[in-house]
Amino acid sequence: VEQDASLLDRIAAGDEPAVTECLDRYGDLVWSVARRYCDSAADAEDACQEIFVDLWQSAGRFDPSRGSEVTFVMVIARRRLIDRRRRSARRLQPAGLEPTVEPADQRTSLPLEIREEAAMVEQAIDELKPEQSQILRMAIIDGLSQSEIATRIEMPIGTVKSHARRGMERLRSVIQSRNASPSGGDR
Amino acid sequence: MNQPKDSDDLLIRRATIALWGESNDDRRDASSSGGDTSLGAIARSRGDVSRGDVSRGDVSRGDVSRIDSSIDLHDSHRLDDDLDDEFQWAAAAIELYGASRQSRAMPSGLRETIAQLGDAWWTSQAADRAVGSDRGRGAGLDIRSLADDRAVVKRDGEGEGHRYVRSASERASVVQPAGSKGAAWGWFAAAACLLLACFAWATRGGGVTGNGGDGAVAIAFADQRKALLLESSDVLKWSWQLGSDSAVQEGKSGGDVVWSNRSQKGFMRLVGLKPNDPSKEQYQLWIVDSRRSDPQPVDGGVFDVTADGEVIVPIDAKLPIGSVAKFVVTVEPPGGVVVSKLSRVPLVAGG
Repeated sequence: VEQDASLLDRIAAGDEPAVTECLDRYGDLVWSVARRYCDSAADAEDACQEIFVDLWQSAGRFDPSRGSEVTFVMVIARRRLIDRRRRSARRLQPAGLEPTVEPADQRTSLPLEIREEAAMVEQAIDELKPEQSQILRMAIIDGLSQSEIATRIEMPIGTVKSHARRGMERLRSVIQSRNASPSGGDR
Repeated sequence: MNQPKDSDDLLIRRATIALWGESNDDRRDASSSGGDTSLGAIARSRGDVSRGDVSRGDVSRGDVSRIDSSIDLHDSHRLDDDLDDEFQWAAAAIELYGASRQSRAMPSGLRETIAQLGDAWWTSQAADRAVGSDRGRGAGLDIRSLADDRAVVKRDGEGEGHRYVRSASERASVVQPAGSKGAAWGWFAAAACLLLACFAWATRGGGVTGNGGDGAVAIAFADQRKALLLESSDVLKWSWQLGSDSAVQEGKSGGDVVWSNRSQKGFMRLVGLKPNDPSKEQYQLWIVDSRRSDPQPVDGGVFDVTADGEVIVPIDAKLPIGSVAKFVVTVEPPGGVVVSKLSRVPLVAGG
């Protein structure tokens, strides 16, 4: 269990097996997120390579007091994916992109510790005010824009924004406090 | 700070960006579809509206251009650097939850490629540690140039699945800077290029095997040199002047040196310098820095020339360089020296 917390530390310290372990543990997760962001499987493959190199290089910067290791992985992944999205937007994509036949991904079950962490996040989201959790779910998980959410739940856009913000603030403090308390984490 | 409303707005904007990316509408279409096939459409729509095309009025054009300009001010590359870091953690946590509900298995080919990338990365790190240096900061650049290389590889390999072969003029011979951290990074970049190239071919059924690492090292340095020339506006490029030394071959020797002060990075292109026997002598570069009060030039690294012809050597400046007045290549005992007697000076370059 101690190993869970120190995988990134081990990478930073030059522990060779940790590099492979990192891929074993987070490969499916990173792939899952990359597929949510990327146009094509090929694009997602490129993104995953970037994410992992970034992750190994950033391993030394992981600070457990700010969140769990898997959340750090997601921070890095999101950063890369948002970067890529911006770059590809700048490249001016032709409108009539040929729809390509994508290979079907196999569903898989993530490692237990990741599922536990995700369950903790879910619980934290559930503990938010109903409108906050609903808006955050719609925004991140369903990928809706603010205006779509506003229309869907018949709420002024400003209120949607403010709920989203307060939800994020609340969530961040819940996550931080769980990480700070030894009973909340994996250790 | 004395305008609470503004800072509140800013906080909302930051949380909004953390949540929705740089535009508010960029995740539309997700609700109606929801299946796998919609992912492309979602991603495309995210991309399409991210600049300028704000039609629904929940963020003004002014907001978008303000956000954009704040992004562009910061290297135009790191959107997230401008955001409150804590929001990134919260957004990442929600993303984790979302991904866990729809998890997919990473394709085995990709897993294999990343594993090899990991080996290459680890080896380069180990080499860096061995020389007691830390080049973690420069790494981002390397990744970007890797991505560019890969694009080239894909284009070249398209259709026919032929090998990625460079013209003879671009193919430099092999050089291994002695104990240089540059060597480690170059090697990693090269190995990674090769892997990515192989991966690109493999996915097209090309079935290519990589050749030895040495050639790839040289190609990587040549690429990095070219990239430096293209990317850095402050690059200086000086031709070598030949000294009267037995390492210089009359009529054959030459080349140049390029240096970017901003990125503190540079390369020597050495043509026709005699290969050395590292057990007897080694080449050493010196950088005369006109901003340095100490008149002693800065050690630019010890290196070997292992083949005739053209050699690209990364400059390994041991101290930050203020302003280069001259580059000097000397021949020294194995391992180099701390202070050169300048008894053998085959090459000099300067403005």
